[in-house]
Amino acid sequence: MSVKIIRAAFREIQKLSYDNSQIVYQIISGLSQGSHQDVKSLQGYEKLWRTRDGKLRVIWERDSGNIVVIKAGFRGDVYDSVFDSRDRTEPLEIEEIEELKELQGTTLANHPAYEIPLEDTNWNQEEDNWYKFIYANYYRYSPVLTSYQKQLFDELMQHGIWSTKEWLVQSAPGTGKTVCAALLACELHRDRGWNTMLIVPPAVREDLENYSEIKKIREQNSEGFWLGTFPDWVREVNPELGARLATSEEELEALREVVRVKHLAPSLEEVSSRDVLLYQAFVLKRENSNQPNQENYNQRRNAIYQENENRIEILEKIRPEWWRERLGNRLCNLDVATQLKSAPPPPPCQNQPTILIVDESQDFLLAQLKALIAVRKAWEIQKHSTYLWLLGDLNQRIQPVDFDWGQLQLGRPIELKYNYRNSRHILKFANQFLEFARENPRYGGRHLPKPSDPKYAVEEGEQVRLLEYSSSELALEFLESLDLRVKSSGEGQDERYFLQQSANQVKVLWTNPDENQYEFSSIEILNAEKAKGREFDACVAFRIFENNGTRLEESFQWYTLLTRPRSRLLVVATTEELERIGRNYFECCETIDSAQAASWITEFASGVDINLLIDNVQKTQERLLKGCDNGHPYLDTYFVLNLAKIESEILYQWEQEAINRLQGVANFYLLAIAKLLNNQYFRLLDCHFHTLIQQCRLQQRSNSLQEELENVPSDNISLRCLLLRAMNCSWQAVEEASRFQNSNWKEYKRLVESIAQDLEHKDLLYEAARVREKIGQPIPKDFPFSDKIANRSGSLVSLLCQAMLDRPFPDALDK
Amino acid sequence: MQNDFEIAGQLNLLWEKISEGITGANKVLEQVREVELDVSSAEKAKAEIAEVIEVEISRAKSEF
Repeated sequence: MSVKIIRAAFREIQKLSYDNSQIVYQIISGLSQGSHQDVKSLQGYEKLWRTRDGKLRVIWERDSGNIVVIKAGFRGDVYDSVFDSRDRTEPLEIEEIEELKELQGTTLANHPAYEIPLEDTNWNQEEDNWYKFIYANYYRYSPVLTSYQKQLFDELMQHGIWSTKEWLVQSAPGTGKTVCAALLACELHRDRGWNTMLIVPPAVREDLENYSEIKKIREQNSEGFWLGTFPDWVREVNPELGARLATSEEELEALREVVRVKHLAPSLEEVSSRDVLLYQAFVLKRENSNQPNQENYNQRRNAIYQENENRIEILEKIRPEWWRERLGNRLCNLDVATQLKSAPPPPPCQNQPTILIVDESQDFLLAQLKALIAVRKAWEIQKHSTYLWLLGDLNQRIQPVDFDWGQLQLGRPIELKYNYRNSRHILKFANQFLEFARENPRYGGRHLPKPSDPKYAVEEGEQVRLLEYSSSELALEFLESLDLRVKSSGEGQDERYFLQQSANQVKVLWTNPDENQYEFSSIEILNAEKAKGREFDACVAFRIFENNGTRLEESFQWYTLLTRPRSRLLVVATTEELERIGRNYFECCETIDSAQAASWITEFASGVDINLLIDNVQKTQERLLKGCDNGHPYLDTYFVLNLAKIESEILYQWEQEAINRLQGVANFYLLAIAKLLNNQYFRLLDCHFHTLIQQCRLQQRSNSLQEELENVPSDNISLRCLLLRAMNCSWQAVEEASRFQNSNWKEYKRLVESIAQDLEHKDLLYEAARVREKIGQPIPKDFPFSDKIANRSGSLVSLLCQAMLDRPFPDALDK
Repeated sequence: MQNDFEIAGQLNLLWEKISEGITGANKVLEQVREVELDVSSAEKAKAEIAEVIEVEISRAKSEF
């Protein structure tokens, strides 16, 4: 039985403490096995059920034998009174039940939902999957198509695909293009046995590799299923040509070299990867064309050309043969695409049809897409049935390429209409600011992205809230009180779990914050740059209407910031800001006071955006260290370090700092003594004295770390090791690490190596070598008595003494 | 199981014992140099030095 969770339910589960979220998981996995006891159905609503465990409730619907979780949380938060009222005499509150069946005015089947891959071997093997699924937004890697998306493509498969073999899917942000591309590729491979090739930009490939459906296929039967970037695809279908394809770094380096050698630097200044694309898309392409005049005409109509006309004119000074010469035997992307088009590779050997699905087509060179079209036609001519689907959005172009749907001449595109990203209220409010820019005569509305139509927002959402202050200082005070409120809110702020705590941080969008000036622990401040491309369930737009650049630039920035929240948006602005913009823009907002605002905005949590942890790696490391300052490290410390890709030497350095912090002031005191003493003197004569002091000073700290160790769950091996290392109990740490020996050799090896390094820093070289024996590294032969100590357990000093006594005295003195 | 400081302490103590042994042995050497060195006295000195060190190591071992 499969279990799906609609997206709206995640923000409720994310609000729960770690322990309570685990109870919800127990309920859900119990339901999937049909084993949960406390289940009640609602009379008259046979599909709706609620399951209870203590104060926690999960409300779900049975859909063709499968389970769709609609809400999860505490009794009061999930309308449990409605369900309990069946046993009472009061009438049922029909409106509330109706809302559950059709949340936000949209049928449940059209809400974005995610399947918990409970039956996957990966899910069962990896630890903390649920935690990652909930708080680190990993649920987004297990999407299911909404009924609208499914219907659209079902119709296409039944009728359209046979008549036309090249299809375009053009649709606005938030409509689920990538999800559709990935899931349809999986479906065609799994159910129809098609040879499927999913061609995507590098960042999307990285994302798709995490998709549970794709992982499943790769584990079970990956033959005939292929995922990669365009260069990967060239290498797959034409290895010889692929081997000559230059990387983007090589292309850039060659272009820079030309500029340097030909002394073009004064006019070209710094050459960027953007220039490499502009050069290929507009300069090289014209040179390659059989009809340069026609090409010139086409280019001048291209929006990217118009926006970059001046730069392209400068780039025209670089002669193509110079660049090609610099590239040597490597070929640039455009030349490879041209060669593929003129000499397509042979079709795959499989008998089944092939489908090429290209996502984010707008970021490909037009020549690359034309090469794909040519290859499809060539394969078809060779009796290998081949289809091509291009998905993209002209308005979301991030690369300066010559992409243009019209020039591909593929007919009318299919459109995905429904927007799953922002609520209707938020879109309506944000669109006002983009409209301002679109109406600006300087832009003439030509090349600006068309805003999403609020009528296609899946979620109705809630009115945008407005909190007005007479001064910016007072507005700032609100942030401070908000910070305190979240910090003290108990369930919402679980101090032992970093991700849970981060999910509950209030996201504040602030155009130009002085981050050093403000220290908030429960608020995450994001400027426009950091906020771009991210989405959250709830956000505060803080003083974003302050004077900041030209009105046109401001409009784009406002639009970008205001479309970050999915469901709730609180605008905090000063009277001066509102007067400057015009109060009419805020007429659709509901004005509230600070207490209401704080309570409203903290009701929703947003999962943690892992990319934010990776992009701000220093900040992530520092936040994790803060947990060590009070001797209570976050229980998910290593989980977060792993997610933030902190590894190898950087991880060891982080651990050293964590150990220092855990050991606290005693360590600093001892370091001061060590500096005062001559190193040799310190080592040989005063070591005993030093040891005594150290032992005394650390005893107290050790006791508290010992207590902490007792509180850390036994399966949290790496963290327990860290505590033991901070307590200077290296051998105990080795013993703790050995529990990974059979289950996770890589982490076992890393821990043992780290402990050995700790020992080396303490000048305990023999012990370090003995620890390394655990991972198969023999004691170095030049260590005296190495053969007498190798592979022996027990006290080092005893072994050394015995080894010395075993020497044949007095003859040994002759040696 | 010993912690790192206990191990370091013991190693230092062992080093002290060996140092004491070497100091004792050096004294024997000095005494030997004062007399005319022949084969038998050299053998005797060697045995004495070895004994001093051995005693110290044994003492160290007995303490750990």
